[in-house]
Amino acid sequence: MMTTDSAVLTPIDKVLSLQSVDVFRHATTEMLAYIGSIATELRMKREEVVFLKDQLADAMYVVVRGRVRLEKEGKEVLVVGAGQSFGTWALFDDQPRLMTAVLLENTHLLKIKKDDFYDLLADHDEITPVIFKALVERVKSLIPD
Amino acid sequence: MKSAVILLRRLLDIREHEIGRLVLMSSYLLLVIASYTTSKAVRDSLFVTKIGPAQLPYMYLLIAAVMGAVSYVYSRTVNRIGLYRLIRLTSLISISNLIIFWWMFREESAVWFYVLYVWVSIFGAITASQVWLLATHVFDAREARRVFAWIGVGGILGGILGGALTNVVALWFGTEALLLVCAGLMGITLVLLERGAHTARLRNPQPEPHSGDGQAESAQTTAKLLRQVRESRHLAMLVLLLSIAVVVEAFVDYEYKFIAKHSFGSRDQLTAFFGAITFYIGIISLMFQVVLTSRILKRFGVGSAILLLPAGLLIASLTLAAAPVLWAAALLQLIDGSFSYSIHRSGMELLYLPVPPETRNRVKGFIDMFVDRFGRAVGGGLLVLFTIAIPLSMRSISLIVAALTAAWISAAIVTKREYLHSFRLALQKKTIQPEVLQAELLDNGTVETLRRALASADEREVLYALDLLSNTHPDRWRRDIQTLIHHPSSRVRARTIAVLAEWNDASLGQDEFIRHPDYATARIAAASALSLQWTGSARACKCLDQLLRDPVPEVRQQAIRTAGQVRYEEALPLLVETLADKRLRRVAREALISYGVNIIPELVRRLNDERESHAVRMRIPKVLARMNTPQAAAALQQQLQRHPEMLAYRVLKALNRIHTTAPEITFSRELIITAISTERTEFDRLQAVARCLESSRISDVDHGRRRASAIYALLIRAVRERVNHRLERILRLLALLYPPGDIYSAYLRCISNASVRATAIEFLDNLLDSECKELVIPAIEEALEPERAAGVEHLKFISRESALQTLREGSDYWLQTIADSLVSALHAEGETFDDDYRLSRINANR
Repeated sequence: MMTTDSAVLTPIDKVLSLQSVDVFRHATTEMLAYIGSIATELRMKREEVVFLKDQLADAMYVVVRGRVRLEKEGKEVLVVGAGQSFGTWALFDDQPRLMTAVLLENTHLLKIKKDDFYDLLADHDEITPVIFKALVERVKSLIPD
Repeated sequence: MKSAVILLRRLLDIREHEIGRLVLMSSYLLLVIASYTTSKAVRDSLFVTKIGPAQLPYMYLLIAAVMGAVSYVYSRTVNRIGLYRLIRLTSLISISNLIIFWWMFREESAVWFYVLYVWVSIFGAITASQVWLLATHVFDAREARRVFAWIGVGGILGGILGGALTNVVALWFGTEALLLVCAGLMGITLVLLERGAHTARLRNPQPEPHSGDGQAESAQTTAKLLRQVRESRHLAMLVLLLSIAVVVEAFVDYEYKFIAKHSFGSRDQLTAFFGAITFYIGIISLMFQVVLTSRILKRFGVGSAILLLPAGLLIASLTLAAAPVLWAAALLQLIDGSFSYSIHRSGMELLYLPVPPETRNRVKGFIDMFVDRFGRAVGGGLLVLFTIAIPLSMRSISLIVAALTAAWISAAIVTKREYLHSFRLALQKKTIQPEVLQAELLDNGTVETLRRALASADEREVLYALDLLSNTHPDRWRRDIQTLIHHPSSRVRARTIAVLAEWNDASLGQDEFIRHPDYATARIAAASALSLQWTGSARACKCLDQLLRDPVPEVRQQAIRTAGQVRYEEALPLLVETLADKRLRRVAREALISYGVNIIPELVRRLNDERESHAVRMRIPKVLARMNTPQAAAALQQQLQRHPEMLAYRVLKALNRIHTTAPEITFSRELIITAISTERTEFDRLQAVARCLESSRISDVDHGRRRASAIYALLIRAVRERVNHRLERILRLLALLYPPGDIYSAYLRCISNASVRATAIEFLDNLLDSECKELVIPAIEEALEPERAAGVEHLKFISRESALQTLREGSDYWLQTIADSLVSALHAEGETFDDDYRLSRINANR
């Protein structure tokens, strides 16, 4: 059963969790605090499903504590642990989920909704270039030398 | 007081920047008409007492002949010397002539009374037309539509003033003294002319292109016009109607003066009487124009409006026939004078509506030029016949006038029928321009004709009729609204709702409208249309106010654009507040920029107002930056050191933007050096904190320590970010004094690649003057190359407790939050800072 509790993590704790997220790596600590302010906490039990393949993608997730298994057609693709994120592309496109996310243990997550994220970018336009910078680096890394 | 002015401005449908010119031109017309009516009373009184009313018919003939010659000379002169010089010359000649007349009347030579009689007629016709001609240069076509009616009120007031002056001065100082009063009034107009010509930029003569064969062209045009009048029954009736009116006017004038002459023993009493009648004519005209004309037109239509004057004259003539006494003659003159210049004129103007605009102007010119003159000549001729050749009594002449007015009434009835017929035809041919249909003057018959067109199967005809009705209050076509909003054509539906939105009609609040698929589109269209046809009227302002607060963002967006385009001052507070709305901030910013530099003081006030929303204050520097003007740059410079962290950064970025896009704008070196110096102090403070924190450590032997350690690392990172941010600000300030491209390039090299950093620092070392170098280079080295930093010696080494205390008590909220969290975590876990480690790092650095 999915539960939300926004009072547990302090803003500093949220920043500590977000600072290792790849797409936010060029963000300053203060920008991370803004992003943390729109992140909601989820505490979920083992084997619960965060999202299913082909579901509408409307948020990204950051693991605060616990582990999440990403699988495609029953096969494990990746296991995501504390300080890591998954479903990140949901922030940038409207495609359905490519994988299913299942919890391997009781897990504490931060959820960042796409709509809230864009509202934040509108209010803090200084965040946009650092997100672009991280995305460009990621795209460049996919291009073979 | 200010709100009262705004209310008055809206009631009069004029804009603030038009008020000065309107007052100027109204005063000008007031003085000219006052001078004319006064001199006319003097002329009439002197002529009928010295020469006698029996000679008046000849004067009508003489005036018609002289006017023809004068208009020919006049049109040639205006082409040669330009309007400004001509008006000035006319005024000077008028003043000198008035003084000459005053002087000559001491001798009482008969010929001067004839000269004065003709002269006053020419003087009145020329000076009044000159004021209107000047007004067309002072106001553009759109302004003219709004303000000319109010200039006309100045004319009516001039009549009242002239009448009152005549009445008083004639009895106190004698009739002739009034000529000096007229000269004085005309003297004042010279001052107003200077101002008017300055506004209209008419000082340099602008002769019209002169055609070598003007007379031949004029003859051709006249022949063409006569053919047009013959071919159009409506135009022919108009010419007939006006011709009868001019003939009757000559008779009325004769009767009035004849009876008045025989009713007063003294010349001055007669003059005073003429003045009193002129005064009352002005009062009645004003009352009609302001209160009754539009009501009568709406209620009874154009047919009744043009019948009122002949019907009144018929009754007054029959009364005069029954009792040829002064009060009956005065009644006749009062009816003629007051109706002619109010209700009758408005009605006659409406009769031109179905006439295509290009034909209308030519026909009007033709009527002024020929019909008026011809009518006067005919009137004069008939009067010669009935008063000299076959001397008739006043009763008989009154009966002739009654017969003429009966013919006039018949012609008016036929004309009204022709008018409606022509209007329907014009509707089909779409030759009427919507803007010429003035809402307050549209009569019921016209509205009914337009309503019938709304039921047409042709979409274009319905849209055209809607356009024509758009200036008319929806109450007058409300029965059609339901049909129109369910019309099969979406364009008709949308246009209907747009027109209702322009009128801010209450029906738009009904669910049926709000849920209508075309409703939002129509309001967007209405907002857009307002910018194209902005009048600044109370109705337009109210409509725009409502659209600016519309629940649909797209409607608000268009309304904001419109407010910017028309520089709607009342929307300024709302536009500034909208800067906080992320959906509309861009369009609000563009709109604010459209207002120009006048709004800079208000923007600066809001920027400094701590009660103002933070989101709004943060957006103001960008608005100023986008203005790209020296005024905006000067205002932003003054804000450099006034604001907290992020807002100050926005101000600085705005200045950089101005400097990049408008390099010609320069900045105060003194202010910028002071700002760099302040930044450097803050940089040193943060650098000291960063070094202290970096030289300490927290042992993380268990889980709790790990959290404190993580927060500690976060704090170091945050302080470093701030140090780099300070460095960026220092370089941004530097970019206001040096080429921004050079500074930016050096900055990028400094932060990106250690291998080229030294070259960048070297480049800056060569570029900057000694003062800047001393402030900036050590900071760059300390931030980026601490091991080479020459200025490291002056950094204070502070204890970790002092460093944390500095951050917790500082104004940087974010560093404060992290430092507080760290202290809480440390207190919860016990102090485990390794001071020996810290001291060893400090020594190593030294």
